[in-house]
Amino acid sequence: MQNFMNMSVKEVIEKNPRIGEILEEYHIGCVPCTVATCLLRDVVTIHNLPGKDEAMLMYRMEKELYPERNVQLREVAEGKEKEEFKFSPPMQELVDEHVHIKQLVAYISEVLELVAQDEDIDRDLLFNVIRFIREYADRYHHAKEEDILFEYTDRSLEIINVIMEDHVTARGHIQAVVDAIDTGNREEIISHLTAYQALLTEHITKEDEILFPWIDRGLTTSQVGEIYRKFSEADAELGSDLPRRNLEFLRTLNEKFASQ
Amino acid sequence: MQGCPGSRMQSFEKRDSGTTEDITGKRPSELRQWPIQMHLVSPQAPYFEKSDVLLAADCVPFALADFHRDHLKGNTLAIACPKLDSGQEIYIEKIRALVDEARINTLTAMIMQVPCCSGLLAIAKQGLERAERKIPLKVVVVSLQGEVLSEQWA
Ligand SMILES: [Fe+2]
Ligand SMILES: [Fe+2]
Repeated sequence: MQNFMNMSVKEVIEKNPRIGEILEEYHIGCVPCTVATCLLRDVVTIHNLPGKDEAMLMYRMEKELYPERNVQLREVAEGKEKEEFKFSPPMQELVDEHVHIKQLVAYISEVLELVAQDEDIDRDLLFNVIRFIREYADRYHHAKEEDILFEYTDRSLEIINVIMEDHVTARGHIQAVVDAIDTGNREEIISHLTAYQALLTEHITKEDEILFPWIDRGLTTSQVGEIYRKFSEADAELGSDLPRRNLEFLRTLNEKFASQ
Repeated sequence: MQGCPGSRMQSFEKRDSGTTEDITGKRPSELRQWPIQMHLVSPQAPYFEKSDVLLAADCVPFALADFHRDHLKGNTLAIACPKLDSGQEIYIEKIRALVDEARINTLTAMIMQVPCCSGLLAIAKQGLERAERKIPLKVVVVSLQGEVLSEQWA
């Protein structure tokens, strides 16, 4: 059993495509593992299935991979009902910031409609969107993930690498948008902002639903206190004006597009 | 009705703990400070500085078999009874001082499941609200039979 749990999801699925279907049944669609090089073991633990479900999943996968073996269903003690999961304060802070980022990301559709229709590109509007993304989403938010939170994880984990790569890809799209605004290339503006929108939407879902609950469950009380303090220090260093002006811009977008 | 549920008489069946591990040999105390009663502790004491503070209701350590190993270890401690202690305003002020002056890292309120014990959580929250710094607050609720019923961030 151990050996296939230490294989990457990709390898296991290549070996037997039925495994992919079984994982899907348990809503383990390998969403966070677009590259699917995550180890099966990490993927299973990260999803934190109820004990009985996890035992059944393991049983079915082993049976599928080694039909000749006499596979036993692992016994799981009748446990207490699972407590409803509640994020620790620093994690909740990141999740709250996601709410604002998701709002901005959703407005990209409206902004791009204008880019496509308007005779002159509204450069001010685009630059404010870019500023929000670079300042709030990246410098204010992603920096806390990269410089502080991930220090408390095993950075060699594939899941962390995937998340870090997303940040890099996102920066690339935004740089490409800035260049395209310079040259007035509408198609490039639209294609890179559309790609950014899709990327960030999926990225935030991965973090909110899988990565953050998993990291949070592994943190000690003391670590939560430390991360909370480091987050406040990082925020203070950037100053309160940065989130204020960007959230203010988000409100103006709200008004602009709500009235349409 | 049998009066206040917090002081109602109850006796528990003696249970076989079922474990054989760890029950032989002495275990060291995890307490690393004195005093511990909330009226006696000083927020200025050096051991509170940047520590993770456990604010336990008086009854908690008696109910929890492994209080030292599972909860006290690595933390500083203050104990109080929200039902019987007088001068609880002082408690609120001390919690504020712990947060702002001793710059504690976290506060964990450990209370019994009886309703009046939530008063200790209220004291903790008021102290935190009064403080300028913000820190995470955790609440652990313990059953009379010594089980941790819930452990949640407030
Ligand atoms: Fe991220
Ligand atoms: Fe994020």
